[in-house]
Amino acid sequence: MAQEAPDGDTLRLSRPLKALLTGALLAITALFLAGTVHGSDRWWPFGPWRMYATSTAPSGPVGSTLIQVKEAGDDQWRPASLNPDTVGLNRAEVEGRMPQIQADPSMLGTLLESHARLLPDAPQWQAIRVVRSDVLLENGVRTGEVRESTLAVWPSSARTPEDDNPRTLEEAAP
Amino acid sequence: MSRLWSWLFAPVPLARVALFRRCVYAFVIVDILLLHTSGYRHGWADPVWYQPLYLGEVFRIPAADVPQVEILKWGTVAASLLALTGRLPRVAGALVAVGWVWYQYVAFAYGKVDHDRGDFIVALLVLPLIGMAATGDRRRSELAGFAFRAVQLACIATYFLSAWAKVRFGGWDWVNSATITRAVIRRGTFLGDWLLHIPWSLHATQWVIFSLEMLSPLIFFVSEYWRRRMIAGWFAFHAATYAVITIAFWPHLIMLLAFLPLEQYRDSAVARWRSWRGEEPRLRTSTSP
Repeated sequence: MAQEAPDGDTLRLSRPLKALLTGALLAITALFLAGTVHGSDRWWPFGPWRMYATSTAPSGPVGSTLIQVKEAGDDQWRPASLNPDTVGLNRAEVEGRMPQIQADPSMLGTLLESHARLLPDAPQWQAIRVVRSDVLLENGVRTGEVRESTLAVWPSSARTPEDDNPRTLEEAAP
Repeated sequence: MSRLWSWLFAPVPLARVALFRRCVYAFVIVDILLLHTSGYRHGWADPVWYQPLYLGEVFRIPAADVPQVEILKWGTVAASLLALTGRLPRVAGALVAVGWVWYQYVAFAYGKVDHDRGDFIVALLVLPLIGMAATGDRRRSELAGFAFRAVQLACIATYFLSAWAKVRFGGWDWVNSATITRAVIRRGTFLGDWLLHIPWSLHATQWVIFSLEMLSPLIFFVSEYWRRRMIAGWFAFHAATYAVITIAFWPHLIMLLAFLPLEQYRDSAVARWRSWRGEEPRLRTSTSP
């Protein structure tokens, strides 16, 4: 592109335009500051920049949420991977909605439908349950005990008595 | 006031705008196709999982479906390609800004927000303001200066305000907690595992990170010599983070480039290439037969 202007030429802005831009910058700055001081994730993109901002205690149970499914023609619960490619959502997004899922387990039914749409050639899922697995830690060391409890089952006909109580999978070594 | 204005509008060569734009719009394509794809799959999730953020309430954004995510994905890539050609910079840039922000919104409106992607929006918003800019354009522009200053401020705000968030959510005790240890246990590399055997190293790292973030605004008060070295230091910090826990705040790494005289780097790279090829240094001419 041919340049008419010689080197060192400067394109200036008028004072009103500068005032307008300065005002816009101050407004955005105020939103980012307010988001950091008062905001939550719902304020995105102005929410607080809280990557790795929480503190972690060295002792206590470490819980994680698992999905188990029954595939067509198989009556055993099998672990299933929970990620955007298999159900359209990732694990944290399902974990964050546990109160609503427990109030209305039919939400889990939508995961079966999404799985069928995303992976039509894979074995179809007939039933699904959400299980919390607690690994017990003592001063940062595993005690060897893992407890599983069922949080929700869909459809409700797939619920069995084992879903009513926590199951201890592994005892601590003597 | 006038000193503040001359700082905020310090002229910057248009060549730098052209080069920074190439980095930003090329990154948008890589980001949408490879790095951050969770929003795409939300097109297949049932609307019952949609949790609108305030942004979605203001603009009445409906739950994602397959046509919405396909249009956002490929439309934003097409707009980025147009922006990379340098033509219609205002229209193309505005389309990329809307498309990228909307696509991130779809990713974040299902219950999980990634916290490293707010500052990049500032770059997408200010770049279209500038208009035409070519890599050989030696003119300086106050508007370009403002755009770069805004990007720099957003970039440093990310560090400073994330230190603030650590105090707000983790407490002042954050520096003595096991947060980095937990991160390394969950997704550490062999280097991270090696550091786990030296527990004081991860504890000290938290003090170093927190101090660097709190002191990051100093970059605006030091000489150009030290400013460039501080940016190199932040790049080294992010490389080390990636080596230990395989996490990189990709859009933010592009933002850091706004502190550097990109057109000077390009000129010296071109000169070095020419002398390596054994060519005589010559003036850029636009010859047409």
